[in-house]
Amino acid sequence: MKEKERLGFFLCECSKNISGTVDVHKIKDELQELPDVVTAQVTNLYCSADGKAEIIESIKKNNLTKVVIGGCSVKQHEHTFMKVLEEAGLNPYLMQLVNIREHVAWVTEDKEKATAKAMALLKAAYNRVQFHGAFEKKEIDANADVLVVGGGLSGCEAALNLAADDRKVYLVETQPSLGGQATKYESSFPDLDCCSCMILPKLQEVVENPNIELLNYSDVEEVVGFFGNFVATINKKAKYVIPDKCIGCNECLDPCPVEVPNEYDDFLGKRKAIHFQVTGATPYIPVIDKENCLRFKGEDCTKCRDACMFEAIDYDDEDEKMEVSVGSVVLATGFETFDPSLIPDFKFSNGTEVYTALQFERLISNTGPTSGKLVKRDGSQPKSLVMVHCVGSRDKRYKNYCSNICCSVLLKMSSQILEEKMAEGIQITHVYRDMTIGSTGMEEMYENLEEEGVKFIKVPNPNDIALNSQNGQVQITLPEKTLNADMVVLAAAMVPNKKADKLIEMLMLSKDEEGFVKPTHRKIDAVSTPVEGVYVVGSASYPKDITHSIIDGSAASGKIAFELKPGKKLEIETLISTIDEDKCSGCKTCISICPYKAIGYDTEKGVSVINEILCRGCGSCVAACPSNAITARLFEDNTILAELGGLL
Amino acid sequence: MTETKFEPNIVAFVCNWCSYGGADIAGSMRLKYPANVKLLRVMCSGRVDPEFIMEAFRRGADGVMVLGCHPKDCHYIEGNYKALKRFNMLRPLLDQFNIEQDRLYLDWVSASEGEKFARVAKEVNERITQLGPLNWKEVIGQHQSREV
Repeated sequence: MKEKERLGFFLCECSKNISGTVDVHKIKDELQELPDVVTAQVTNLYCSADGKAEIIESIKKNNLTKVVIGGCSVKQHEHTFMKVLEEAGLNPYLMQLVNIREHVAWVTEDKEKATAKAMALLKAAYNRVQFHGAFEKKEIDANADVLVVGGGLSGCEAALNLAADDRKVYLVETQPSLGGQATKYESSFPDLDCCSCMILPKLQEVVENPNIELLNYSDVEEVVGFFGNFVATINKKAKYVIPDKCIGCNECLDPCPVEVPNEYDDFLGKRKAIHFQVTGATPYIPVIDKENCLRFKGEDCTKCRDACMFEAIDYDDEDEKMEVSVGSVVLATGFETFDPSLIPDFKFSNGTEVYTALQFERLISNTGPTSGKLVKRDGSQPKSLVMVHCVGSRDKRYKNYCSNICCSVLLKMSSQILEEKMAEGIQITHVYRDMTIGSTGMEEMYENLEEEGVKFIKVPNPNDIALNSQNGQVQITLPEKTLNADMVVLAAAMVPNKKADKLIEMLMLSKDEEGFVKPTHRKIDAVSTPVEGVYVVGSASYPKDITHSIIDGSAASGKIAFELKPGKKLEIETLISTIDEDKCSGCKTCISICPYKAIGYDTEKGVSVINEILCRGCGSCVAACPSNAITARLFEDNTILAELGGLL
Repeated sequence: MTETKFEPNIVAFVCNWCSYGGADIAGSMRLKYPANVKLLRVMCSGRVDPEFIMEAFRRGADGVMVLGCHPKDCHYIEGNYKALKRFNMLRPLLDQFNIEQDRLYLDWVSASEGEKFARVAKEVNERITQLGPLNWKEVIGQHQSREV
């Protein structure tokens, strides 16, 4: 037999704010007559120290089991009164705060009607609290270590901020070296400051940090688990070069007889089978690319090993799998560039004088295929250069969005060419739709370029122009005129990194309509994701420049540092939903409904199971369950229906 | 016996994060709306089981409102879309129960839209007043009640 409830009502006058419109004393008298109501009290201000003391005293004196407070918004004082209950030794959930101020007194003219409405709301609460259960706050053990996937600037920033003596960071980068796309740039906008000078010291810090385990040339193969308790399987690809022995002297490169297009130069230059990603790459240790190395094609080539003075080459190296346990995952998987050959009229192909902006950046970079000399494929200097903005961007046939940085990159390149006098007398022309340049200093750069004779031709949509390459020249057909240029640069859109798809799926993250990872909220929670403990930084969530990528890395690390403290347990949401195994038919409807991927399926029992760490208690699954097998704490069907009965 | 003006009984299911807050702002702005619109807070509009709506009608509501966060603003990412789907599913079915579709109302009220909350409350009240009493409680009887 359930013991009889002992209910207490506390009606706040809120000075005249409530009692000016609602007759709280009349209500008090009526409520006192309800079954199991032990006390109904009225005070001027229950949120005051005296008011709170009165509630505590009454709970203790009257041995109350449930409390209903008629006062203001739950947004304002629910927390206050929950603490009051706790102080009185009562579970804080055995209470309902009824908003008779904002929702009644302040919005109703007629006093009689206001009083009747307040009475209805309080009776509804009286009905509802009968069903309130006591819930204890729950804590779980949590691992404070972090897995960062992607060693670009945002990932490195997150890793550097988080690594500490009591927090290990596993930084996984699929390429041999760190720094991501930013390492391909010679200089950055708006200051034309040297990228390597900015970036390399940071990357070196990552390499040297004893609390970061750098897993370069590695891939995350699997991630299972949840906030505080993830387990990731990582495949460390064989490098065939022993990092501890190699000193990065380069001697092994020249003897290698293999030459393949260099993917790090966007296939512009060539590289050997044993290679560095870029000169000055961090870590500066080459890898042998198994796909192209003659040894792995059955030939007995040992040229690189013969050249190595440190016995650092090991042809017997093998891929190695490792498992890491972490509490949190940072997804920093970056972007790719849009393939301009998808625009038929561009007739884009390698070998012509039409380049993507990233290829062109490599061309004018000191570490690029021409060591920074601006020359055409035939070795001659260009006299004219046309830069096309918005390639594949802002066009629903391709990518609907603006990639944010392309205009600035093209202006930066133009400045760089002129400032460094890369090609005497060169005429630079921009074909653009809108000049989307937000950051400080860019407007000035744009004006300077205009003064220096750079032409800007506005067209309705740069994707509608036509490019025709012939004899090392490119003809550019615009709506109203035709241009000829020695070289053309295409600011191709930044697109989601397809290589991250598998991981995104494993982490059960959602993508937006453009394929970028969807954060919890674009503005107010832009680095969190709906999957608790998983964060997204840098261009994985939308195209970003260096500044914003690094800000993202800092933001995510701040959140993780705050939420996952080494040695501390993790407090989880109390008001979650739970499944009654006996009622669950195993239809899995709830699994498809849950926005937090908090529901899994127990194949043995044939029932759905809610992970109490991931559940946030929205109750969507409860409403969807055809077997009424799920209940939402404090918002159970019975509780809501009881409240409804009181209202009507 | 004097004829009193019909005042409908209206229940508004409001989500905790947006619409409850919108109603708070209406209060802070002292915007008046009919006292017969009574709020029932749920964490998310996605929690509103169509059964609650039918129960509300059965227990004497003349109109039911479901108010959630604006599209893309849901605190729980997409609960409001679920509310919309269920609304679209339930509304045409109301005809079969002799309940006018206009007695069920779904809208989005943000935590800043006090004005909208008060306006919507007034408009729905006006609409239901014109429709008159539902009296479904009498029609359907007590026997189909879900035990609580």
